[in-house]
Amino acid sequence: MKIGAFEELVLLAVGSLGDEAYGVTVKELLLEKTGKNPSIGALHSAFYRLEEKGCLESSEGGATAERGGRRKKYYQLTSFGRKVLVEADELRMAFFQQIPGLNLNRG
Amino acid sequence: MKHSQHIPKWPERLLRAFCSERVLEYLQGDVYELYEIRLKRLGKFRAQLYLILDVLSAFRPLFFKSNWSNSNTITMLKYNLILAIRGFKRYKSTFFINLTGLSIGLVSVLMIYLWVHDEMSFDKFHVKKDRLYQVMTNTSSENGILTHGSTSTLLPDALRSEIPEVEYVVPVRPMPVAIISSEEVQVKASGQFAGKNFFDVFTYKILVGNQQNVLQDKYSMVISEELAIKLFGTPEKSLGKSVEWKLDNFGGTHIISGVWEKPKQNSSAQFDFLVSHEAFLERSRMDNSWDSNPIAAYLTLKPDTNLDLFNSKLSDFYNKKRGNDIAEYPSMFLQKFSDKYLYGRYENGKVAGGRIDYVILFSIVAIFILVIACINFMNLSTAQASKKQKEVGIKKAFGISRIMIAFQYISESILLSALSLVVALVVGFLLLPEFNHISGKQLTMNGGWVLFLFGFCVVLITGLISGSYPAFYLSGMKAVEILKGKLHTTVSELWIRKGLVVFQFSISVLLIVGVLVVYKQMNLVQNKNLGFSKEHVITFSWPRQQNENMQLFLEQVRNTPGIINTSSTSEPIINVQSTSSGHGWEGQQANEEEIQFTGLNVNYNISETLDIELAEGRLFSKEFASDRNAVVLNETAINAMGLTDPVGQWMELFGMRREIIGVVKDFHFQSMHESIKPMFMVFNPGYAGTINIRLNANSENGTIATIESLYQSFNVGVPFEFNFLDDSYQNLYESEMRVSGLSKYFASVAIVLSCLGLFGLATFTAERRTKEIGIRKILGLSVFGIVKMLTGDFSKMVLVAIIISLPLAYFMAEKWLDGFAYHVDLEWWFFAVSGLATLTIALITVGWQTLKVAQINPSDCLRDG
Repeated sequence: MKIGAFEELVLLAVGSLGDEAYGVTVKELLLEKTGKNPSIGALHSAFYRLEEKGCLESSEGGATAERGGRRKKYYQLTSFGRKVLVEADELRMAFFQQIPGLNLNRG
Repeated sequence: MKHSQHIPKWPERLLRAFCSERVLEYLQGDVYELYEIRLKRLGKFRAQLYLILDVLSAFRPLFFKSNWSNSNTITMLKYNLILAIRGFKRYKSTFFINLTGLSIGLVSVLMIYLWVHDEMSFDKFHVKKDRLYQVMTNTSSENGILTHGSTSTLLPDALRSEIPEVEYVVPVRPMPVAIISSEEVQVKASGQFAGKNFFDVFTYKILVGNQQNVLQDKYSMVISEELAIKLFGTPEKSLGKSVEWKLDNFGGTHIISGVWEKPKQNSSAQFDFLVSHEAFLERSRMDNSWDSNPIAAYLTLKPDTNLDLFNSKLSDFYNKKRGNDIAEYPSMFLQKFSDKYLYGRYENGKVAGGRIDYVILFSIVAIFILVIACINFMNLSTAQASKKQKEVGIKKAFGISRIMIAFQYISESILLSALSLVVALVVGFLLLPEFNHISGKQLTMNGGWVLFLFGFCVVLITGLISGSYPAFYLSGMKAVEILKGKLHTTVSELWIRKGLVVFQFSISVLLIVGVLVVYKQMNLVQNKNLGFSKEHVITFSWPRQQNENMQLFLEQVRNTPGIINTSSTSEPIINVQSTSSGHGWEGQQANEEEIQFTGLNVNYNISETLDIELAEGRLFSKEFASDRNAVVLNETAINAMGLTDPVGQWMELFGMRREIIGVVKDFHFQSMHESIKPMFMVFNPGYAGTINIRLNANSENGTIATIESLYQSFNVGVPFEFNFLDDSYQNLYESEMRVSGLSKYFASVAIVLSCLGLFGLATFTAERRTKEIGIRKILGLSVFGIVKMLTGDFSKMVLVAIIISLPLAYFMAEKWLDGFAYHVDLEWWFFAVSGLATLTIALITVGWQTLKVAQINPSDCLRDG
């Protein structure tokens, strides 16, 4: 399974937010962690594709006044999504260890 | 749950229009939530800005409603694009001809647009431009009604106090180049005397100083930022400093009360300092009366003033003040200051044009060039229709509507013109420096969104025009007939195609004749014997305050090696303007009409310096002390006065009887637009401050340096600025030269484009008739015969174009030449050459292509079925 760099970031953010992952919170978290501010359209399109790929599942809930009475769509990692993240991490580690002079153990 | 009160409604509607159900609700929710958060953090304006960006960011195909991204419209657009690109690939030569043609056309249009835009932008930066006027006066003279912008010094105050519609009025008097000196620096600058409300009427940004009262004080002076930097380093430092300014006849020491920033926009008024008008009134020797007109008056009217009513009121007012009968001239009218740059020519007391003529002329040329390029496209696509007929037939059989097919061809042509615009922008960018050189402007392509909008409109219009005919022609065919192969080129189609070619070439011929006539006329202007010799002569003005030393200076110059001779005149010899009338002479008839004389004050050695030829008698000489009371006339004057043996007779000038000592042959002392008028010359070195020096051709540079140091020794610290007489002469024809330069290029563009189209058509016809050619060759037709057969049609079209356009060209050329008192005669060969040149170029274009076709081996083109 191939996922793009931005999609990977979104997956990580959704994972770390637990039960509170929806458009606005993910956007804020990404801004906080990466310093880059993704547009809401880009974010939703990543959600859309990740859901199609089976990395995310969603549930509806929590309509509030500031949302004009509209429901939120909460996302959660699927087990496949976790697997994809782990694979991506392993791939990266494998590369890292092949680079001479980059001793990861030393932090 | 309720909406927040101030949340905008449009994002909801917009998102609902294109977003699929799957994302719509959550996306909307997030967008609104983000808006609320930002509203608290960033405020309303920025929250709304981000709201727009958010909604835009959601506009991506992934979210589109399924019936939207798969809708007919989108599919059709995609499909049309593919078809267009395939078409371009398949017919490469046609594509390149079209692209080149449209690009050349668009480059020309772009350049002309930049030029026109620049011309139109003059003086438009004044905030009150819609009610800012100059007072113009019409006076009757023997040459008809004369319109001028100068008026009495009494007028501004009278208007201000007595006519309520006037908001502000300022008197302005431009002055010749003055010398401005601070304690350390001395510079030359041009300035104006200006009334107190100058900055209320004209919009200039005051950098330093109080705008309300910069010109209140009689001894105040306002300078431009550039001048401030030259004099004191910075605008701030110059405030409150005193500077001395010096003109020929007066000057003074003033305190700088303000500095303004020169506008970045075009301005017709160029000046570097302003001195209070009161300083002018106080020192000017001209009397303050209603009969002398030393100033220009600019005023702003109160909003919603009726201009016509005001004009008649103004004339009445003025004539009452002067004590004239009201029905009689002079009359006054207001001209918008922002119009004056373009509309500066008056006929019979009315605005009759000016630079606007050239603006209109070039705009028309631009439109013609674009039309020619469009016609190429139209012709080639209709000619190619036969190749596209089957495609159209099948589409129609499948039920695609006529409008859809038309739309396909229009979108194809719009795509092509958009591509051409890209090419044109690149080429235009590269050519701009050269264009600036020719047109004498500093144009840039930083037009911003106006230029963008212009480009967009041009692309749309070009695409629509050039796509329209093929689109409607092709889409109108009947499916059954096409598929049965019954369709033939109709007569009307052929006629239209031929008509378009004829039209193209008519314009080309017209432009060629135009270029030829302008060139010949400019040639005449350049090479006509003026009656004096303007080469190797430098001129400069002698400072008035050094008057008494001028003769000494001239004496020393005369003794300098490398100098042939020197003399001085009151005005530059190439443009003498002062006129007077009411003079008498010996034997004058009592009831004779008054003659208006042009007068020139001269010094010794005038004929040796300028090579003015004598017809009779002699010129002023040191050997005759009485020459101070003598006069020399030109031949035109002698004829007008009706004198038979003029030398020795007397003439009365300004109440003084003078002896006629000589007659000079006529020479051109004004531009060729004017005829040679009666002229007198009197010896008066005190009023002849324009020095002319004839140099030896070989050592000009060294000699000029010598003269400069000599000049400096007489005028310490005054910059030495001189002109070559022949350069100044060129400047008299500046606008004509520019037009002549530009028209050459545009005429070439027109003919190249027309030939490009013809080339395309010829290629196409030859291609379609290869089989016919093959058979004809087998039957024994020679190569020459085939070329003749193929070119015959085209040469007929070009001939018709020539016949149509030549009379038109004759008429237009004559009209232009009428503006010159001395002009070339329109000779038959101008037209013959233009026609023949066009025909030859067209024939070469077509012949070259057909020759290639005519040489094919018949077996090659006949073999495959």
